Amino acid sequence: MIHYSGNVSIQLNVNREIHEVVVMPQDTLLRVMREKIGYTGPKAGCENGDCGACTVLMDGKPVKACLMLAVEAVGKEVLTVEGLEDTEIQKAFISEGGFQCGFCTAGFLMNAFALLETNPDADEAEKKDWLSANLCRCTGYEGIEKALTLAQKRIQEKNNNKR
Amino acid sequence: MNTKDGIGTSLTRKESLDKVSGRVIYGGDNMTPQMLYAAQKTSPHAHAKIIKIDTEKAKGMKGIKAIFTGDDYKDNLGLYLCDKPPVARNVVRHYGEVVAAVVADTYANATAAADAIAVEYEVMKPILSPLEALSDDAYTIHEEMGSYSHIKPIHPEPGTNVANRTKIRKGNPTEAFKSAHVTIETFVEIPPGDHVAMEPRVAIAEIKKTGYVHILSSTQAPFVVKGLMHQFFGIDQGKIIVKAPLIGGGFGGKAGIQLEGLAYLLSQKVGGRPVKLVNTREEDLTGSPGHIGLQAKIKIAADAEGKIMGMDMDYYFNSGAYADYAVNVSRAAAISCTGPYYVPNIRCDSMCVYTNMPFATAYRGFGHIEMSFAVERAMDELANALKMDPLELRIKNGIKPHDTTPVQSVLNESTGDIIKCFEEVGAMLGGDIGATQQLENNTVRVKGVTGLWKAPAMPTNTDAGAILTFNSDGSCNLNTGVVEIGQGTKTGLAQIVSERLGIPVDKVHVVMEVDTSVSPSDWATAASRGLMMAGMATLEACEDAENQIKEIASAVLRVPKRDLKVDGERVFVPDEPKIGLNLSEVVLGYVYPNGNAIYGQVIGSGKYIAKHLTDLDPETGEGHPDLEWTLGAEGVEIEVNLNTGKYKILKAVCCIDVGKVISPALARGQIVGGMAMGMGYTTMEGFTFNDRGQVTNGVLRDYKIMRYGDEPEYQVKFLETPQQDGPYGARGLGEQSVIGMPGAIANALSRAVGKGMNQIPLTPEKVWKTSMEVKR
Amino acid sequence: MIAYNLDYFKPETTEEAYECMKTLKEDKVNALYYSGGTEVITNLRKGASKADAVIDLKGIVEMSEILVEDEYIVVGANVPLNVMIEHPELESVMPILNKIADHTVRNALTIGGNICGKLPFREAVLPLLALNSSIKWVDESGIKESLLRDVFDKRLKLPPNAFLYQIMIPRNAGGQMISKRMEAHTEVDYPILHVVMNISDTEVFVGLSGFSSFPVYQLIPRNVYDEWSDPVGSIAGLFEKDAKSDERASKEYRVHLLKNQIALFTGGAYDSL
Repeated sequence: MIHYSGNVSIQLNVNREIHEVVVMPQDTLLRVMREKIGYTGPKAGCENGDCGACTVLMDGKPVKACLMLAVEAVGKEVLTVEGLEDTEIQKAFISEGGFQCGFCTAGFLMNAFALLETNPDADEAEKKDWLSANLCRCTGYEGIEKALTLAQKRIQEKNNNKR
Repeated sequence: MNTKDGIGTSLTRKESLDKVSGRVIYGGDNMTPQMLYAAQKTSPHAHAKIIKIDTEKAKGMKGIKAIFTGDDYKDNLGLYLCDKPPVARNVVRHYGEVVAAVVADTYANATAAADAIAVEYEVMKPILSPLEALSDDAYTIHEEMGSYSHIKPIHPEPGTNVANRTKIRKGNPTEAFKSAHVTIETFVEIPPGDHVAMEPRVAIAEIKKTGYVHILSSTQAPFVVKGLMHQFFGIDQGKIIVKAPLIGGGFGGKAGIQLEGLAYLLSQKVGGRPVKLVNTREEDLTGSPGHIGLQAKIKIAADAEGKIMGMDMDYYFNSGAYADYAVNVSRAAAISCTGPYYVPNIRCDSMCVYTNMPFATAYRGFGHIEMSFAVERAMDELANALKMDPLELRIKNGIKPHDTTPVQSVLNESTGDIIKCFEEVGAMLGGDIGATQQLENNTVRVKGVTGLWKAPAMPTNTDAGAILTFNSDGSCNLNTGVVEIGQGTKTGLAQIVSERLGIPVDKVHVVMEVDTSVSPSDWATAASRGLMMAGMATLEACEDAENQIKEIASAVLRVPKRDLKVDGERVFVPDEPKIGLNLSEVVLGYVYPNGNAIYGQVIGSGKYIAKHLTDLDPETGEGHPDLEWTLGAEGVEIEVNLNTGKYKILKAVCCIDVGKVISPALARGQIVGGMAMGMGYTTMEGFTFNDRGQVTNGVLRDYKIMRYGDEPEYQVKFLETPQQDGPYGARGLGEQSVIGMPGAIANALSRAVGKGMNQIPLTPEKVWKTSMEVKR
Repeated sequence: MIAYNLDYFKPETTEEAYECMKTLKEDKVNALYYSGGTEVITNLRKGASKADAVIDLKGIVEMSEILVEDEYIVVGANVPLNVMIEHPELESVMPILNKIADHTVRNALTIGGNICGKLPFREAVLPLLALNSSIKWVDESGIKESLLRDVFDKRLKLPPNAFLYQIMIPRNAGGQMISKRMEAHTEVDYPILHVVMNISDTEVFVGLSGFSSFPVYQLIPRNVYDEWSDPVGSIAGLFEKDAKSDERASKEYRVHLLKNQIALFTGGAYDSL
């Protein structure tokens, strides 16, 4: 049985790199990523699981890092916005006005990225189901919707070309 | 002229790649080894005497460096009226008010210690509405109002709960009402609510041994912070350095002074070490200020043809426990009190009233969204009484150039065409605004329209500046005091430089952060005038730089300055373009082949200050406080299920006259974002309270804002009646689209149920309840 | 962010988990079972719950599995809701589970957490009760089994230190399950009414969440149900007195929505005036 008490040294796989960090059991994954590993992309918008600004991927699935203990991420692959490189969704967010102040953007990108990886043929209902987990106050969601549509189209085209 | 990426083209924002890569460092992302962390303790009571604060246990806890309570600072802070201690002193006046702060080596340790502070309260009955605060037996929330210092244009009434009263008296309203064909009266209510910017507020303060105070803050107004820090704490202005990084949304909530004062006092308590103070979401919602509430009574008098003869209005603004910006919000609403209609006779009293509720600061629309809800509901009631189409009534009364405003200033030609805005909105909604379309299953489709206008309510000496420096490759750096809060002004300003000097926009480098020690002074990034005022300053800086460039080139090329043109990264003779120099050869001085160097670097500077603004006459409100007016119209189409009260906003449309669209994509983003915010404001936001004045929806789990999928189809149309004193004819547009949404939605829903819906938020339960009342 | 020290335990077997809890309690250590963690972390941050230790049950492998057996679909208590939703055999419960919290949270929020947590909605329990599911739990004497209906009354009533282990959902339970969830306004929210009806040959199940301070349900013999001339009034009459008022909705509105929805489900008449 694993028992962690007080300061404990763990290994976290974040953005394809193993990070050795000293954490306490009550530390959330969000705080550890931001304060100990240095990935400040995921944000503390509410630390209550309501806004989604802390969204990261854990083994490919979006999770709210503010509602997860860092020790739960041991043995998993965590991806933050800093781990995305030149993806269609990032490009589409830029061209279609998917952000204004940018504070919610990391969370939206991770969620949208995972959606398109998991189901590139997602329909409007599924897009709404996934993305209603994140709040944006600036864009009114129009730019985000357009970006998602464009990225999806490009990914579908790429997949078709591969066949 | 660089038409490739100058004005009128939609560019991607300058900071785009950093924003999509998590590489922007917002205020809260700063963590340095020497930094200490602060946590706040807030009041669970809306009104209580603080009997005792026991910090014994907290003091002894791990990592605690300092504890701050009300007794540690004997004075008040305040933007216009100094009524607020940095943490509560002797009394708490609203739920969520900060009663103590703790500084520790880690945020966790600070939070644990804050929890361990025991506060003994004597709970008292709270006042929970402006009308209650104005009643004869209401107690005085600020007993010492008479001793509070305040700026001249604010008129507090000691011995009462009125923090400010603005009077508008125009023409002869009594006579107008006497001789009117029809008069109507409406009463509306809006609770206080919140900005809910995605980034909670943060301030980091450090005091160096040299006495220099460094503040890094999520502020829209770094220069206001600088000025107030000097005013409150006596620090030399030159020794206050305020830095504003990129901000995660402001919406007015980060203007004025927020956490900076407390952060400074905390740093002082720990020998000047850097102290980081970040709001939790709960503290950001109810501890820091939100938006103002309103109770209003509107009467309109009209003739038989529907021409408005007079308006008689009482605005009771709910400032909450402290005045902050609210005293100016109520004043701004008075200046615009009629909405965008020509009204020759007006009696308006706009009061800023204290209550024991979370207090109000600037919010998008600055009083106009609240005022507009009241007026636009009244306009639809008038249309009903006259049996007139609601759009036709508005077109008939829309204000035009040469008409007088409520403050009796005259609208000049630089004013938008609101009549056309109304017509466009009508067209976008497919006309027939007053009709109710019956669908099956007791569902109806209805439309609602409003007019909107806003003039920024700024100090008469509001200003902006711009500095242009150059790099050896001929590219330039633009430095202004405008903060990037998401509105994209930095990119818009780059487009203006690109247009004016003919330099490609990716060679116009914009300094993203504002640093008061090196940026030119700028009143604040608020009031939708960043692009307009900083834009004018930027144009002046461009002109100045161009002049210097021509000066150098004139000497080198031996050509008179008037025969030179700057474009395409060169300075040259237009009809003999071979005679010219690359900008890269002149901008840091020119070096002759023999080595002689002349002139030195080009530094362009520009400034802008508002012209001819005056304050209001205290009795009549007459004056010229209005820099410029942006006018527009909005509308919605809604499908309502009268069985359940549930409704869906299908379409939201806006036509706004912005003078000149500098960047179409950025402009649309602002308008759509504002409409979404206005929709949330109207349909689901607003604080809820129990009868003890405690906020019952103080977390985002319960305080709902629009989500992905809630949005309607947005349609936006811009008109371009030039603002003669704006850059390329542009005027402000950041706030306006929020203003007309409550009225439009309420007008549509009122039509659906057949009775006035005048209480925000317009929840499905309220729709159902009202529709039941009508049926019975 | 949780400001207090916690000890973290991750047992690998049910016996280890139970013993761990029992020992901690005996040593006066305040411990909570931990599954998805979404509710525990929220409560610990705000001080709504206090704990010195959490026992993470996700180390017990079979509790994260879904097994298709002859008579039952066996769902481990640690299965996240999104995994349940995607399982082909669980299509009938999908529309109900799909509305809980939001999609991202459902990657962590487990079926056990939803049923056993402090939040009074426990919406996932409604279809399980409707299908007359069984549950297994771990207590002093090992793994025990019971019909959910026998141990659920407002909340799951298990012995001290016991924890939910698996849920057995009968395959071919028969019946037609219909549901409707209504919120105060926006959909990502707690329900003000979540009604689940299951009409089988022998009984009609009507269960509500978000209507009262806890989930409530009634079982109506099919023959009785068929005789009702006013299904709306009869069904509403079973629940009306339990309706609550809070800042999301008044009890009048909840009752009205219930009646309106039952009318839509049954085709019965409802005049709201």
